[in-house]
Amino acid sequence: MIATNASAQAPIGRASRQWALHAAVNAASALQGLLPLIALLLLWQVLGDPRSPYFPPPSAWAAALIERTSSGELLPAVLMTFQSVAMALVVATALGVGIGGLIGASPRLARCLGPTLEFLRTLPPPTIVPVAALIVGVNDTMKLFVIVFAALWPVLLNTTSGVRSLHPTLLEAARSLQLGPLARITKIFLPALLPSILTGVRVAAPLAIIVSLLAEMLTLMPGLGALLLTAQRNFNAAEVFGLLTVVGAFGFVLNAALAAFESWALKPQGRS
Amino acid sequence: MTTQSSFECEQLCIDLPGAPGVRRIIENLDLEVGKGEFVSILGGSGTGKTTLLRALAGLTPYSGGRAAYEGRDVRSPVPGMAMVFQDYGHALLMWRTARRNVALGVEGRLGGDELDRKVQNAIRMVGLERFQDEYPWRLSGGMQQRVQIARALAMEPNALLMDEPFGALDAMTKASLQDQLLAVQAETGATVLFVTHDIEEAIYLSDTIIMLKGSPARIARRITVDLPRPRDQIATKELPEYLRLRHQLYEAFRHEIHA
Repeated sequence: MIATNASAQAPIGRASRQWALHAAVNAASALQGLLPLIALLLLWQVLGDPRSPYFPPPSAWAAALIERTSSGELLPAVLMTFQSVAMALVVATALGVGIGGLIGASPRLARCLGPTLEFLRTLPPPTIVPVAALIVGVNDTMKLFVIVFAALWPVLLNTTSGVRSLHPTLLEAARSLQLGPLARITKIFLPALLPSILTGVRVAAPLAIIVSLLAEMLTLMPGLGALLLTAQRNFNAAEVFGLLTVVGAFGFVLNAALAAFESWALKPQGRS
Repeated sequence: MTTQSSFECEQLCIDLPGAPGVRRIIENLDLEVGKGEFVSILGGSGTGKTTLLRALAGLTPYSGGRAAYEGRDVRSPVPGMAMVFQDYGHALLMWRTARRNVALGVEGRLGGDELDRKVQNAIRMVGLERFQDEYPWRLSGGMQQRVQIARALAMEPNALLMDEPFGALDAMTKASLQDQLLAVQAETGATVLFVTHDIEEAIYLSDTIIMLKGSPARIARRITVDLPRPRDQIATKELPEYLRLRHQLYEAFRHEIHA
């Protein structure tokens, strides 16, 4: 028995090592992909004029960022934006999976809600900001609302098409095993839809960042967007470029984190 | 007689929607399957074998007559019955290990040691002990189908409904799973309804073979297989009675085979 157990577990141990290796290779290749950007920044640093009012070299950006950090503004702004984006993604995922799942499961609901959702989906999120500010006021709820409004659709649409492409045999197996509605949702639907949902979230994440920054710029609510706009209004080019780098890194890290989560979550399904 | 029967159909009619409109698949079919009997439903492709099985499993609604299991009308899946699908790749949960797939049907109402015991027993019956912690997508087709059969067995069914379970497997895997199924049936005494288009498989496994023919389908013949048990892949298939049945059934399907 011991011998057979060991031989059964061996491939699993090997698989997890392979997966870790795979993840490391992925991270390395992602960093490798950033090399042209790093080269460009180095070139800029070497050839750029440190006194240029419009194109200050990266060292000037760093100095400006350090100043913002020591004045205690940068870190809270990053955290604020991150908090808005993360919370909005959680809400958008919950709503998108719920509504998308129902629409995918019920053709009648799809007919009833389809055109309305299609109309709402085509509204550009920036145009929602003034409307939401009028109705809800300039506060965190409004910000959350507009980000969710933008991030909802990819999750919703992916979930709907995921439900529609569930294999009938899987659903019949669940029926013939007489699983209750709750067990069907938690044990069959959600795990089966996980790849579709996660793809939706990954598409939604950059949208959430865009709209979050936009809302901050339009309303000057605390966050990276407000910091960026203030720097621009003060003609502080170095800080603008510096904050732009922070925004880029923010998106890059968020996307990498989601990709790692996706790869980890889908490992048991053999789809990572 | 009714207490002895597991499945009963009286004047059963099944209609299915198709592109040109509703099509009648099964018409006025009468069938009685005794408890503990191994019955194969044999027929060419598209004759409605699977439709009949699905109606008895409560997965396809019927439009007329009656389909009953242990005296009660079947309208939806009933406790005591377990279905095994041909398409194991989609019937299994790829994100669960073999063992947790086997537990799926029973974990809702059992827990702890009793759950473990039933799952382990089912795994033992199909010989999956070494692979129980592996994910299905890492297993061969035959092993995946064993997982699905074990999942059905864990529910300790009185009736096992199998829809061409070995149809997608190679000849050697198929033979080994046939023997495993016969051993499981001998151990559990379950009634088995087995859909197949493989004449030799039907003879080798069954007590009774129901031959479906026509469109809409009716029972063309009901054949009693009088071969001794336990059966053996070599010895049973050399018995004169086996060869006689084989001849008779191939003769009956001759025009369909050549069609």
